[in-house]
Amino acid sequence: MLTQDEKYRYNRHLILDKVGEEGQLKLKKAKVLVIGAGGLGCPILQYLAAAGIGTIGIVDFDQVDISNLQRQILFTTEDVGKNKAETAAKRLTQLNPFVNFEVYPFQLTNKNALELFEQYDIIVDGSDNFSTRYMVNDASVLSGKPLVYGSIYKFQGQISVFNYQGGPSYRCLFPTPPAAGTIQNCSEIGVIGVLPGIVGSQQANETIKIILEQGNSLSGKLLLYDALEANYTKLQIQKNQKEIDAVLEKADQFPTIDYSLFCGEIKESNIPEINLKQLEEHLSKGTQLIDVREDWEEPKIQSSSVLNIPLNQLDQLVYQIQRNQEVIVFCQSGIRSLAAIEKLQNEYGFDQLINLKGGIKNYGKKEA
Amino acid sequence: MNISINYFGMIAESTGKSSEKIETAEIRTVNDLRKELVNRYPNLSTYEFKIAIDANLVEDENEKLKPGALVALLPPFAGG
Repeated sequence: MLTQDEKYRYNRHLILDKVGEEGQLKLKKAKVLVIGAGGLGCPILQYLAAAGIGTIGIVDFDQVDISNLQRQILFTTEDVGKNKAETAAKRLTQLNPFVNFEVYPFQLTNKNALELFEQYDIIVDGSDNFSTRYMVNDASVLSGKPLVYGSIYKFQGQISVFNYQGGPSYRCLFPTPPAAGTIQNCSEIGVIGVLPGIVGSQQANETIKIILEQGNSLSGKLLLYDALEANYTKLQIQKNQKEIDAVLEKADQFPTIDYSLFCGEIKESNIPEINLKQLEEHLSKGTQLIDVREDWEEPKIQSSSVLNIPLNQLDQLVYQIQRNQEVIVFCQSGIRSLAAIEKLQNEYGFDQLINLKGGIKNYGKKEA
Repeated sequence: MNISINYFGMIAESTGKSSEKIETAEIRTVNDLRKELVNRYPNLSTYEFKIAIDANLVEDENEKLKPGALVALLPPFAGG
């Protein structure tokens, strides 16, 4: 039953033919888990809370940073430094006190995901990295929960619904994660602030449609949005039962799978590495340094021994790299440089390359 | 054979364009097209991407291509 206060609040739903009191009660009974309270998570949470979802779980271990406020519209300047899940729940309670918020201010991992997923009807993925996305997909398959997927890149977004009514999973769409070194995140490449608002709102809409059992969901379809062209493209995804079975067959191993390794985010390697402090010694020795970032990326090292060869131009410019002596390869965080070193070793026979561990991003900053 | 191609995400950066029409006699299957594009744009070999033909994401790249096919190259995104 809805109270008088609830009836007033949800009036525009109650008078809508495909929602009504029956639909509103479905929303009130629903339990939705939102992974990440960031760019996508903020609009997802706002619309789900406003719509009157009964229970909303929020998982985010991260703190609000001033650079988040360009797109993460639940937070204010005063929130900087506070946990995102807790801050979001506080703000959303002001928006709709009828919603029960469950806050998980810690990292979602394959150790705690299944236990958490079991308590919810629908999982909404607003995470920002491949290892979490594959892990969330597998946990959704294993727990039999529909997964509302959204992801963004610069000016483009992808939206779909996975594991719903026998439809495809994320692995049916992308069975293999991208190669290490080709992966960058928002903090490295930038994102237009409105884009997660548009994509996250669509995720909220898909979630509400599933709960109401109305319309056609994006299960089996991938919706692409291009903000620059104002263009939507809808592609059909085929279900690949082998990919789904592979996850189900390895159910026992799920908590022990190393998703970071699977996604190439952490690589086991024997490549020699140095840290920023050791870099200074090499700079004074005049060791050749190869910067495999794009030419606009900061911070720069001011030295004549630094050569900029973006990762995708390696083949054309490989002749500029010195042989038979130590050469240091670096990038922003140490991942692309590893990919460059592997390529140079395997395809061009270089054997004295050194990786700058953790990358150059903290160069010139005082050590904490 | 005449084919229209749309490039998405980082694939578009890799090819330097968001769409193009190509004309070639040698392409018979989706896999031939993948090889031809990697040949034209060597950077594509470093990216993971799916190919869609006429709005259907292709599972088996041995699928035959028809003249006038509308192709999309789609990389995974993870941003959020």
